Amino acid sequence: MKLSGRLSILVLAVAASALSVRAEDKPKVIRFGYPSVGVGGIPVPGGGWTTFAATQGIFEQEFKKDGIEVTWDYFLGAGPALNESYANDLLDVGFLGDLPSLVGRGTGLDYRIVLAGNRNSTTAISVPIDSKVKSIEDLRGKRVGIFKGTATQLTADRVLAAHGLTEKDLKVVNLNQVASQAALAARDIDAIFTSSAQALGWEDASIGKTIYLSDKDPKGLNLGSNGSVQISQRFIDKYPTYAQRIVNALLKAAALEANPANRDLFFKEWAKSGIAYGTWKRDNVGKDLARIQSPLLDDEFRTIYKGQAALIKQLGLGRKEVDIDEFFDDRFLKEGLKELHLENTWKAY
Amino acid sequence: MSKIDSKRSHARTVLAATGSVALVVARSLVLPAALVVLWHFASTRRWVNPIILPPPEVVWQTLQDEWANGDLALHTKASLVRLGLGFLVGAGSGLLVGVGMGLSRKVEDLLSVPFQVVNLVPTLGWLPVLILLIGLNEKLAAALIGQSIFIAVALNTYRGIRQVPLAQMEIARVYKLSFLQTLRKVVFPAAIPQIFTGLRAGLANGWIALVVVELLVCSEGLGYLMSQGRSLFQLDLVLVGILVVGTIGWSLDAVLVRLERYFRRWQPKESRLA
Repeated sequence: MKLSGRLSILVLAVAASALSVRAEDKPKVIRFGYPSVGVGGIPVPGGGWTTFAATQGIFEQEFKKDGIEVTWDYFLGAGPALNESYANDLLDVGFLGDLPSLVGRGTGLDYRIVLAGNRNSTTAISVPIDSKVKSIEDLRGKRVGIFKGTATQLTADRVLAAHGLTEKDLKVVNLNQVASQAALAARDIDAIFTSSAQALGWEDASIGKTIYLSDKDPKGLNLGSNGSVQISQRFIDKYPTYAQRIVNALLKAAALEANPANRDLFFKEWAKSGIAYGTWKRDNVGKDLARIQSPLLDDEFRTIYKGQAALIKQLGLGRKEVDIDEFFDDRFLKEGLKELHLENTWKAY
Repeated sequence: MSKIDSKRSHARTVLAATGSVALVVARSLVLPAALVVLWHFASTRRWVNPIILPPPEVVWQTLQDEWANGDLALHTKASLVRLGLGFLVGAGSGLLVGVGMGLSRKVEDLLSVPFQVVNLVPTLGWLPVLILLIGLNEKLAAALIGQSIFIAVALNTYRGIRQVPLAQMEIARVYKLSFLQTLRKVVFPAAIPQIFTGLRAGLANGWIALVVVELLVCSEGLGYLMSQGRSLFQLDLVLVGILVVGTIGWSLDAVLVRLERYFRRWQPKESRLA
């Protein structure tokens, strides 16, 4: 009796493991979402190893041998639109700025941060080419474009606060990437918060000039924006080995970028987005890509996200303060660094 | 005896009348109430992801919060001012042009076909062109709202005037009424129902255009509030916006219906119903 009891447990265990192997099976399709587009709305974003992974088709190559289809959605509506897609279970992997990912997680979207994407990325303020606006203080009462719900909004709010202003002191208009450019060119807007690369792109196109760069803040503050890679919990539970392969493929791209010898390769790749090679080069003068685009979920990144989560609650942008330790899942990162021998590629801060 | 009878029957009609009002109110609330109940269960029993459809209790709470912190009042006021200005300009000019088309063959020949064509292009269809012409700014809001009200009012005023029975016009001629008298005593009374149809349609068009344009270009207003709710994944805020927009639209329409009744107060009830 005892033996048969043990036997039946064994049988059950074998059956269960067989079942779990079946559950691991493999996905028919892996759905990626990117919260940005190229100039004019083309589905080719630029900047970072995340876009490099997209435009180089590294996942398509990685999963071709398994017969797994890879799909990409590029959202002109940025993070908020990507979150909506997640809510409808249309995405498995997403790249998101800090505000949308924290707002999404706070609302209950079931995804986890598996890699850091970028930290303290330079944010800029652009004004029409012949504008008299010279400083942040001049923005009081002006019509200012901020892409609401994106990481840029959170950075804009912090930059404004550091200079004694809030959104309520301005007339804020919610403008996406493409509408921003049109509004700036038509002088329909007094200023726009955007990425430094985009601001330089507008300078090159002679439709805007840059009056502020967050890494050259007159008060010496360096308030940039942050981003990360999310994988849905459902995908992680169902296909952990595939989640690992996604992370590994991304780590390879990030390691490539971390090597200073490859800077030109990346600038050229990013130029496909419509922002010129020279602009990317200028934007990144003196910037250590391995530092600002480190994929490590280190103390620094954790601290940044904890601060942002508290700020989001404080500003009323989200209703719940997200538990960062629960939101971060660094298992795949740790395993990937080991498997690919990349432990010393990035310094943890 | 018969006096008492008549009193009783009068009381009965009054009772029946108030009863029927209550009944009408009750009937018109059946569907919304059923929807709220359905909404509650759809959300709490997770038939629909509650992230996408927050339960009515949450939306109600958000409505109260937004009211308490003053945001809702601020955005509602901004929208109403925008609509009010658009309505004054759009409906005013629409009335003038409509009357012109209705009274003068030449103006009609000139304008009626283009107007009907323009009328058939939905507000959203104008947006890309108007954005290029005007830019993404408050002027675009004014133009889009004004235009959508103007066309509806002008066309319906014109149709209303054209529908004045010929016999009535002839009587006016027989009585040798002056032009202004004819307008006041014959044309407008006959055209009032159609003019009000135009005003109501215009108001509805304008309100819709307002919300669309506020989603895009404005820095305050109910449409802006809704787009902000969407950006921050606060669908309860979006639903609050929808509720407020719907309620205000309905109330404004009710005001116009009252106003129409006032203008037609001299008519016998039966024809008013028609």
